[in-house]
Amino acid sequence: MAQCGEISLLLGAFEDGELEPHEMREVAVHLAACKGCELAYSQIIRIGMMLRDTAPAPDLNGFTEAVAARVARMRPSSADNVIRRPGVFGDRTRTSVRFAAAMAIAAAVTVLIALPVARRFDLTGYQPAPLPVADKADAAAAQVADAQASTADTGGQVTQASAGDDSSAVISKLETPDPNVAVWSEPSDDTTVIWLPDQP
Amino acid sequence: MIAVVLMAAAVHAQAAPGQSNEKSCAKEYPRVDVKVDSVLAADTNEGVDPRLLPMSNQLGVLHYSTYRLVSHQVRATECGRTVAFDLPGGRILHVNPHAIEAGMIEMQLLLFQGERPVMLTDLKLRDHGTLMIGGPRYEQGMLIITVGAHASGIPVRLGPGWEMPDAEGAAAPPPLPPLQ
Repeated sequence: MAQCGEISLLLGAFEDGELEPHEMREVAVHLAACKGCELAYSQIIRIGMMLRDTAPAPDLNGFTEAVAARVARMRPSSADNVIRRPGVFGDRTRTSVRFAAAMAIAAAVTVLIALPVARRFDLTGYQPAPLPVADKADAAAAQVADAQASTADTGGQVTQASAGDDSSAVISKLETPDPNVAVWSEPSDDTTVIWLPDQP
Repeated sequence: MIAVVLMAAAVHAQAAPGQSNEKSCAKEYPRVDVKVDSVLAADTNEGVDPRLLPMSNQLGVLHYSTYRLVSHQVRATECGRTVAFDLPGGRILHVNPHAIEAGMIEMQLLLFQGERPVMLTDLKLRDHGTLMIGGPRYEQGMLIITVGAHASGIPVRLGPGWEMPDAEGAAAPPPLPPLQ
């Protein structure tokens, strides 16, 4: 039986889904029986939600073009290299340093921006796939499709699917290794469905 | 480094209201009843279990010809505390209602198949609303897991399949004869 001290060290990874399956089960069973650890886990969930709310994904439209344009401005022209050839060693060094610095800055910015987004959707052992739209093509399913399109480049894990304003459920996060998961809503029956096919 | 320190301070400052929100959640809604039904859905043309008739409209969205109630569980917990349900086929469902706002119960669901987690979802469920999780194979058909919740403090409007749970949770209904 795991002790609270051991379990508390695993709560963060448990919330991120990064534990081995037997560890996930052990933590889950302990949380169901230990109020103190359950409170600590609830706080971790809360902090995680706040962190995600305070770090929204920036708009990357035009980012690549802007970086390429900046790099081009810093790269010396062929004419400059010919004219400056007699004393070119220092100029080449400065140009190379400028170019290297620009690439380093671009790489660092890319990592800083992309890493939180990638980490947000990374789930060890999971293989996310684009979510298919359910066969029931009503207005709620169309909203789910919009959510899929907006997250297509992140592997297809739905992060926001309201499934209709009249739905009884608003799903803010859904993570599963099932590549064929589907979500739809029937507002007239006040029902939201998560479909996990191909489960044994 | 400075950015990290500022971020940590911001999170800590926001965590304090969050903690008070959790405390007020448990204080304002000391009891949350979570209902989980396990239903066998199949295309065997045997009709709807009489105990599922109040939910027939909701189950009807799946268009199966047979619906049989396998287990019915209603357990009481408090806001911020996880409650676990044993489901058919060696599955376990963890439900953690952690906030309640505007008649919507925020909860986290974690579904296990044995030791393997198969689904993690954060959602807001309307009081007495229904979430259905389907697709796992069970006997001759599919297993449909219906999840509902009600928080004390929200005006009571008992929907289909709800009854006041006892301290240990409602017992499972008597088993039906097996399907042919």
